[in-house]
Amino acid sequence: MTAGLRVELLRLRSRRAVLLLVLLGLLGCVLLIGFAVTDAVPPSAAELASAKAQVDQQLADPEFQQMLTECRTAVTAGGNSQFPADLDCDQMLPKAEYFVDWRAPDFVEQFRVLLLGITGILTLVFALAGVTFAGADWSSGSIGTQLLFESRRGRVFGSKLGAITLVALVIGAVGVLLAWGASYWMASKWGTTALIGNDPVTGAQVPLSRTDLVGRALRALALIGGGGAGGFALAMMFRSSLVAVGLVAGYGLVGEAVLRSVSSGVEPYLLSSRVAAFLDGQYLIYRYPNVCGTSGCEAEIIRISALQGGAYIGVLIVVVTVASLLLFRRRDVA
Amino acid sequence: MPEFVIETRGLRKSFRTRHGRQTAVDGLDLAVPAGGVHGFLGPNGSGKTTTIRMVLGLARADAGTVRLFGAEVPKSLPSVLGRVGAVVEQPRLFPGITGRRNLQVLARSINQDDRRVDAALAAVGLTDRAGDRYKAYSLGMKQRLAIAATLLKQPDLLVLDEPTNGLDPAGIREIRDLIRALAADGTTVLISSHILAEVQQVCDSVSIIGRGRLLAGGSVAEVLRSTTRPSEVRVRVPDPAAAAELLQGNGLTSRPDGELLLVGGAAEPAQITRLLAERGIYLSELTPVSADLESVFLQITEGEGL
Repeated sequence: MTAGLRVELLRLRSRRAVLLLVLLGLLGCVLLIGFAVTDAVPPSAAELASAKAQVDQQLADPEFQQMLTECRTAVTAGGNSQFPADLDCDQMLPKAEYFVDWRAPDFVEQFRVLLLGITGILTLVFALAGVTFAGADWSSGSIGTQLLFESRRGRVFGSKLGAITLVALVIGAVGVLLAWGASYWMASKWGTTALIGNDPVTGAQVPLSRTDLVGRALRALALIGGGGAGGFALAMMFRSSLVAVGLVAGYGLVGEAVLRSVSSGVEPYLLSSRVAAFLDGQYLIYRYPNVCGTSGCEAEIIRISALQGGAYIGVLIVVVTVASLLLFRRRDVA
Repeated sequence: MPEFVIETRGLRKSFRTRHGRQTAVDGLDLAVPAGGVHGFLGPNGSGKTTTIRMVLGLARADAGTVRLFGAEVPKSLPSVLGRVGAVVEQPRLFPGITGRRNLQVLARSINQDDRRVDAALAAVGLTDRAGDRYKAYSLGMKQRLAIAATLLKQPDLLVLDEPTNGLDPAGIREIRDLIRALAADGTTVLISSHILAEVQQVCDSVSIIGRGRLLAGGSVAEVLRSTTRPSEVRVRVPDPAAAAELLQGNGLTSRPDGELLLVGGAAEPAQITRLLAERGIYLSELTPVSADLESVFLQITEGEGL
């Protein structure tokens, strides 16, 4: 198996399409980080001066001054329908930060966002790399030549699957480290590195541990590896890159939309919901009742955990891979 | 080594087509003796390639048995595959990489190093073009590279399906010399081909199949002797029409062959010269026509309605 894996790694390295895809993927990651850094850079003196000028301009606006005066008068007099008694009128005063599109980078949030982007790019890249790696063997007919050198089809399949998954994991690890490093660098330079997250329902701040972030990184890595394995298994099953890509694109572009239109109850079972849950730790679906009561509309929250998301994706990849292997073992090769 | 390197018994394979199931191989009993060059002949669609694919484990038989070096295929194929080199139908390697890299990838899968790659490239005369990408090769070069790939294993059995397809005359000669050299070194070579003159030049034994069944087999000499067509002579005379009428009137057969006549049924050539001379028709050429593999092949396959 090890010799087979080495051979498949050599073959994979020799495939220009795969190299190009990986380079494009890494370029995409670097660009994403570049955009994030651009957003994280604090505003320049000129931008701050411009913001201050806008504040001064608004303060000098007679309409604004009149509204401020009305607010203060109304609050002092016990409030009215427009300005309640407990309103802090000074909150209406413009501040320079309102006119500057910048938030101090927060390590946890920055890592979360970058990791989502990088995982999306690399999962797609390695799904396509897996597809083209297997598809090229079938379209060139070279799979038949390979079987004349190693007739144990399970080994051939396993070596190829191992090679594409291994490369996906290695490049995925590079992507994850880039996301981690860039997020930490930005947060330590211009923001905060405190490990604090937000509760998705209440919005309250909750403390996080380093393990939470490592778990998130490992899940991202698993998804990138799974993308490579799944793409490879699909192309081996259909013996065609085009069919495999068409199937995935068809599901992504049309399939989910059709399923959603058929029933709103299907959302927890869609692949996109499960992937989101797996990557982000959980995925919340707000389901509102058809008829609201007098006290308002209370949404039912359906929570999909990372474990549920991971189990779903794992079972899907295992089923496709096993089916692909069984077909490869049984069917004739031209 | 067993007496036969390849043995099939009652081998059967059918395919599903739009018009129902089509039988490609129909109870084939094939025995390829160890040593020498064996020709595997048959008209297009007679089941040659399908048989080869089943022997090499690329296709599953519906029924029957296959043995390769005595090992049951596909069950024990891994134990003997290292002794077999094969090119089935067209050469099929990786188009985007160089000829050398193609061989390196295959060599590493059987734990061979680059020295073996260099030797294989030299054996087929591709050393100078080894750095070119495979997809830039001509068909003949692809064929030679595929043969080079088979040599990486230093096989005891070499299976070549239409090995001279796409080769120019010089290339055909190179491959023929290579096959002879390999056979002389003790490699058994199985050639499937439709170029019968080619096969006759290099083969020691042949199997002729039609509609998936064995029609004839044995050494080339045995198969040639098995022909029922009487021996003929080719004659050149000044008036072929008069000569033909005269010969047919004396119980011989004759048919035109360009400007010449093919005459059969004579006990010996002297009978023909005597008959013609008695009527003042004098020969300027008389050549005995020996049966060749092509005529035997045509006779057998025509007899089977193929």
